[in-house]
Amino acid sequence: MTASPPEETVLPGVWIIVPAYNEGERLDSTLQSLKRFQPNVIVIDDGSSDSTSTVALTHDVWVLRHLINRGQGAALQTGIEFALQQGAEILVTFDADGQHLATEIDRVIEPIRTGQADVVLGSRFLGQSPDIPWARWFLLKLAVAFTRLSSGLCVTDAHNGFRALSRAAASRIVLTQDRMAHASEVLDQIRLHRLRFCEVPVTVRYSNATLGKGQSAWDAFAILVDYFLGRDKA
Amino acid sequence: MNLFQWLVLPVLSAALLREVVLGIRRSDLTRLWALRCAVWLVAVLAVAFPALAQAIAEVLGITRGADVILYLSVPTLAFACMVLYSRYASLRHEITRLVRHIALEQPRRGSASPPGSEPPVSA
Repeated sequence: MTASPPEETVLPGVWIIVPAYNEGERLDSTLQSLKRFQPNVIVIDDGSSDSTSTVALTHDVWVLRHLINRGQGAALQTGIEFALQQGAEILVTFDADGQHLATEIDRVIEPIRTGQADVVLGSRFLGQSPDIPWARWFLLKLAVAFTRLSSGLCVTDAHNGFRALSRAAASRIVLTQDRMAHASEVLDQIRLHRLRFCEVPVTVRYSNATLGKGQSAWDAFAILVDYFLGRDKA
Repeated sequence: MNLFQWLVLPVLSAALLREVVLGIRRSDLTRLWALRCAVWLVAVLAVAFPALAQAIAEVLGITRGADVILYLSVPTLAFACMVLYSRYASLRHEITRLVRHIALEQPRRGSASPPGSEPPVSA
């Protein structure tokens, strides 16, 4: 009987935060891909009406449940607070729908491990985004242009859920935007707190299912409204 | 009186009367109640005495009474919308805090065992 190959070394203090809303169908494969980080994985069930929590509980992960849906920003903040309570040193936000690759987490956290950055932002435009629809590409490019104007940060991808934060950065960034405008809020707070940041290339995989849940032009307008009207609240 | 006044005045007068009576009955004579009564009273007077708006307009140097009403209504409504939105946003924020507090109080840890073989563990 041959010996099993040694498990990949899990970096202590690295916690993966996975906000999930009605991802019962895709969550299992996502959590399988995050196996080497378990149990330092937190699934925040944001008031799902499907089997999201049940699926999550079949893995050795932490599951927090919002009784009602509050939005991805709210779910992330809940996950961040729990991770900090657990002593996380590096926090990684990771989408539940399989758009991101767990194999790229090491690349995302490397600048924080080496002390080069406090926040690392994943960028699909530095990496790969196969099959990205042209309308989505255009909207995201508009978001980048808007971000450069509003926050002054020179980023290539303003709305990517794949990011890593040091403990210090996560302690200072407080997300008050409950819904999708939180992505812009993260950038604003990077500037506000003068956090060191960098971008790394990541892959974002698109499928019909994930595109159906993604942002439309109308959603982009709603994000803009949320961002401006909610900007004063801290 | 014209048809519009015959139709609208009874409704506005009833609203004003209801506001006054309920306020007195409930001993709820607050500033907000007074403001609500004032709004209904202005509406009743504006419909009952349309020349009143015109007289006010002439004093203010505005051509038409309807313009006075418009110039007063637009910023008032805009202000009201801003106040309402601010309160909605605060309420939303408080709901999120409450939902988050409950979630953080009740974390569950899953198990890598097959479903049904081992119950999940709470923190």
